[in-house]
Amino acid sequence: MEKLAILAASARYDASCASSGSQRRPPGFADGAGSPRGIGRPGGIGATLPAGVCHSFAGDGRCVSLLKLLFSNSCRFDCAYCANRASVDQRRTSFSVDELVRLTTAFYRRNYIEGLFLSSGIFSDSDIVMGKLIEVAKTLRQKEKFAGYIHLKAIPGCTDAQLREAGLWADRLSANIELPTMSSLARLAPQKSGSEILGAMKRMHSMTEETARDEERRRRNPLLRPVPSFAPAGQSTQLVVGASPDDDASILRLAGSLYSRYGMRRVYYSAYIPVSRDPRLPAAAAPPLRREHRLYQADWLLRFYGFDMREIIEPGTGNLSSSLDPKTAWALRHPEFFPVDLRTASYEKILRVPGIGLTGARRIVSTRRSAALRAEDLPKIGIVLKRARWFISLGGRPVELPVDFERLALHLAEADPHSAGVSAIDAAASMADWAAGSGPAQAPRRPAGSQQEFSFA
Amino acid sequence: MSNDRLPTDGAASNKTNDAVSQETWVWDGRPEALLALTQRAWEQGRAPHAVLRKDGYQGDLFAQAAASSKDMLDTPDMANMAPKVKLSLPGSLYSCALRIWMSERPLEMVLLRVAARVKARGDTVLRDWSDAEVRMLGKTVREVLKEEHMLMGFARFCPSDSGIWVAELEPVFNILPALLHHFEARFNGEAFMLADAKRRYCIIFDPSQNPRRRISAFDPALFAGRGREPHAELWTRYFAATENPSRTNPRLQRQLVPMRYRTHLTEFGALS
Repeated sequence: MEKLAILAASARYDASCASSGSQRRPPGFADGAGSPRGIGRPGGIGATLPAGVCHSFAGDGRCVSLLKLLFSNSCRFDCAYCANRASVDQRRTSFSVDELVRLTTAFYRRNYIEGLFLSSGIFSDSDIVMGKLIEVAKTLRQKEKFAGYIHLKAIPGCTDAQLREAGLWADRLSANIELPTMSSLARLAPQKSGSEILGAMKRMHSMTEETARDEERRRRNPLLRPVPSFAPAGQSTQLVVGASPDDDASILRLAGSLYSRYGMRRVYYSAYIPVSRDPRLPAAAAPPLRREHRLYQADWLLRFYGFDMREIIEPGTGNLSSSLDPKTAWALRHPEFFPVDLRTASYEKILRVPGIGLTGARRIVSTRRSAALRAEDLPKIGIVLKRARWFISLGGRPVELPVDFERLALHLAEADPHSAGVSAIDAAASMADWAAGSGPAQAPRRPAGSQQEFSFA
Repeated sequence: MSNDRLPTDGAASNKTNDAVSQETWVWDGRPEALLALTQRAWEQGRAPHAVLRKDGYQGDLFAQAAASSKDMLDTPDMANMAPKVKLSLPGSLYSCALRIWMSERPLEMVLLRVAARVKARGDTVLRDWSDAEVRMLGKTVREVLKEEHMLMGFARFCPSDSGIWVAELEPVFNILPALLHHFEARFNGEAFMLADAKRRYCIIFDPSQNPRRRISAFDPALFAGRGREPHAELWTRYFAATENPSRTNPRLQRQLVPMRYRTHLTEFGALS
């Protein structure tokens, strides 16, 4: 029991706990026929839902969907920001493969979890560590015929064959890049290699594409044998926010490249939690939660709202606005774009209005096909008029009288729940100007271009 | 545009030109019956004047003498109608009718009026969010689906003395039938039971029996073995270890795990 508590506590800094993106049902169910490898066959246990399922919510509101554990918390690396780094004096322990398998199936049967998220400290060579993780997944799939969700950490530096095998047993693979620039990585995690991490991502992406090509060939010729899919839920990664002086632009630029070049399913942002007094780290008293929140908002805008990174960064700062959400901040910088006429504007244009989300925009478009939209209809279909009313018109008539956008910015900043409420947290999280060695500073984030960024050649 | 600008009160939705007959339709509360009524309203493109439950039906002096008032119940193969209804109704209307039944809210009349409009104007009606009746149905369906999804995660199973996995739930809506399919796939051939402590019934899935699915009365004795479960303690310990003190946000946690679910959640102190 103590081992479980230690290795669960060691794994809690990994933000990812999603069980989505993969569908596996036992043979005979309307929406699935197991998998080509026989996962989900009779005598086994488990299924996955594409939307994923949250089985509980931790004290910080994070979804608990997977049994998130480290195989071992012994680590040879001494990354400054990590709670499990080699120089920390803490109890080190490891699971055996059998222990992990028994624990996973027992928790799964009780419906505590949707599957397993397995990572590990680098206690030996990369391929030995990766081999252990693969062994757990393979035993679960083959011996226990477990068809639940498995998320494995891809250990950079492992062999191609290992990576391929891991992807065949697991639903999702992830390699955490942790820091947004090469210089930060070299400074805080000197034993990690950025090119090795990006290399692992690239290899996973090409294996996924290979599977997609095989599936396409099979679709054209059903006589071909089905191919086992490689990590059907794709790959994800995590970036630590606030442990290095990198600005939001570097973080979002890296995230954008990972989405577009390596087909990343998800980039997680994790506010740096002060776990050590290393002089290379900021003297933060609390994690920069507001910054993390703004990055998630910006990430959403990049992925689903058709925004470009350059549009949402505050000009001249390299950072996102902290007092306003990125979409509102963009809208206030572009008064020429508004008001948007909800009766005639395109879906893409409606998406740019603050207070209107994906669902709201879809509802506006479907509703106006059968009726002329009126202002009183908008709150009923889920539009936040409190924010949207300044930016919209209906049939050429603005919903609200035009106002000075500078005054509006102040008004909306006051109304933003993430602006006033967490200012104390953000203030406490202001980082030390460790580069200058002059103690705590107000705005130590470095402007874009001063850090050496990752190369995607 | 339709009823948005109308009173939402069931029987009086006539300001639009929706076709409404003078008949009173009666049903017995079974989901098949509601599906059959929905199909009828959709096929005929008109809703009845009123829909009443069989147990409370006393006749209506002012309704047209309607031979049809009870015929839905007298259909001999009512139990076999659901699959046929599924094939003929637009998918979204079928799913909506089932969820309305699960919600146990008196929205039958609203459902039938919307079904009649779907016949006339196609299923784009179901996406007209300015229509108050569509919104009312949509809101209810969303609430039922949310409850379904939450309980897929919040059901906690424990082995009973008879060797079957049992979970006790107290859902706001009558959603056990919707959860059954999910857990059948999850247990993949193992026997299990879902118990609704609020409505005092259980659904048992046991592939070794015929029929494999049956409904029985709620029996608290099945849960007598709870508390001896060693894995419950392990899980509680695991859950506590994943807590990140510097990010604690109890308000958010309360919002995501409402108190009403916690009585059956192992990690919040419930026996399992």
